[in-house]
Amino acid sequence: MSRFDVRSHFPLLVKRPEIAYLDSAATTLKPHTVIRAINEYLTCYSASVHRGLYTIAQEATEHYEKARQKIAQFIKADDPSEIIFTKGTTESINLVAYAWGRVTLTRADELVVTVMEHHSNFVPWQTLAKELGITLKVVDIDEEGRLFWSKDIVTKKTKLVAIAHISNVLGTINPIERIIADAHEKGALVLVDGAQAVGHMRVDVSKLDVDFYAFSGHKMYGPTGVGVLYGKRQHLDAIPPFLFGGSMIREVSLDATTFAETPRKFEAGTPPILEAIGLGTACEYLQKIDLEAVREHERALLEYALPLLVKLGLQVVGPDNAHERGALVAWDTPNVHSHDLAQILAEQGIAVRAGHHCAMPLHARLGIVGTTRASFGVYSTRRDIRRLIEAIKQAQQLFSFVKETV
Amino acid sequence: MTEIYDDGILDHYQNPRHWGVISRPTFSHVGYNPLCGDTIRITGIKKKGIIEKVAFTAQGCAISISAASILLERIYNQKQTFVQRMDAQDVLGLLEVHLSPMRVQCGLLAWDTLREALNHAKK
Repeated sequence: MSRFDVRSHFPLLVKRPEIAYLDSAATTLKPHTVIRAINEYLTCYSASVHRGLYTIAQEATEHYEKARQKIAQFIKADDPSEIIFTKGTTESINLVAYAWGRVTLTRADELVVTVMEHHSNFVPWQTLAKELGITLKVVDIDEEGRLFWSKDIVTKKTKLVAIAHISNVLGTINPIERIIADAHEKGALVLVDGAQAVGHMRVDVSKLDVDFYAFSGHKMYGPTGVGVLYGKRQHLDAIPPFLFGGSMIREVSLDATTFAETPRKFEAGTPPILEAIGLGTACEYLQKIDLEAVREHERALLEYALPLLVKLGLQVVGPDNAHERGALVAWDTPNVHSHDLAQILAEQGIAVRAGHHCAMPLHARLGIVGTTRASFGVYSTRRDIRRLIEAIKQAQQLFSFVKETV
Repeated sequence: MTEIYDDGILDHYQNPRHWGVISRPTFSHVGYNPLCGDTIRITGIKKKGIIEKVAFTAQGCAISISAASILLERIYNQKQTFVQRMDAQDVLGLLEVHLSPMRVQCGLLAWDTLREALNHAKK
């Protein structure tokens, strides 16, 4: 464990040592390099991008475009123009649903999603399907929370498969390589929600041959308010703009407007400049500490946590094997409501998340109202997990009467 | 050991008062908190403006169940106007513990449900 000591990189952990932060799947803490990069923009060159001719405007533009390059390199995109800055994963997915879906899909088409999707990769497709009168196929899971995938789910009618790389509740790492190959064979595109994957494992969009890959900056040590839509250049070029206004045009007259090229075509208005710069720095940070090491660290923590949680009698959801999971674990605590548990943990400085985690169809499928989730980042330790286990024991003790009365 | 799960709250959670369903109610409503999935059903009989009978069943956290138990204990045998004069602060005040903003909805689920039931009460 001591080999992987990065806690001192995170000012919040230094300032608030009492906190056991186990909610990185919601948002990660920020390393000082990211904070410094943001601070530098704000104090030294906080101008808008792409327009001003003065020095600091040029510096801002350079840093902003450099961030795009760093992100492209980080996920192995062929070209920086394939990186669209958005507000986050949700906006990235909505961009594809609105701009691509509305113009491409017709009544005879099918969309494929899964029952484990976060609402952000479910509601846009459900809404679009209802609006256009097309079929939405929902792929089910097995008892261990693995996807029931088979080749024939994708048919000639399927236009897009939208799927999470890693489930934000089950932790399941989906076999997206196989799904992408199966979809492409039938001529369907694939959009992957990578919110829980990027920053926790190596993601290579070129090798995956994925059509669209969406993720958020703040779940990978960058700031909130920025996310990315990666798209293959030929798809992005074919999609009309999503938001209209400044920056995304080539020429506007009273009669007509022509649009800028990819990626600017999709970045209307003043973009999230400092956020994008911060995200570029977060990519550098992760590259420096090495994503193989990050994955190994977080997998080892999960391997440590899983049996301890099971031993407490908790109903852990998702695969038993840590190798099949991302850096998170959710469970149902018999006789203790997930919000009561999270509250008791909070009183002891342990930060976890409780409820349906924006995955209501999944919880309905599992037949449970809500779960409590602990999720890890590079700074997580075995000590955090031990504190969690002790506090769960205390909560079980406090509510031990429930068994007897109900 | 804990700040909000004091003996009072845990006692009401363990032994909720007014638990059950009133048959042939003059007012009833099922309340639901979509954020956590908690549900509560309140049934009761109001005669001449007085809440003569009231009961609840619920599936929820310790706070929402205790808050329901404490609220029904307080409004039982009271005039409907008494309930109408209460505001959210009065209801939360009955709990005698401080709820964080995220838990306020748990503390108010029974109250919202009761008001809805009374608003649609049979004459």
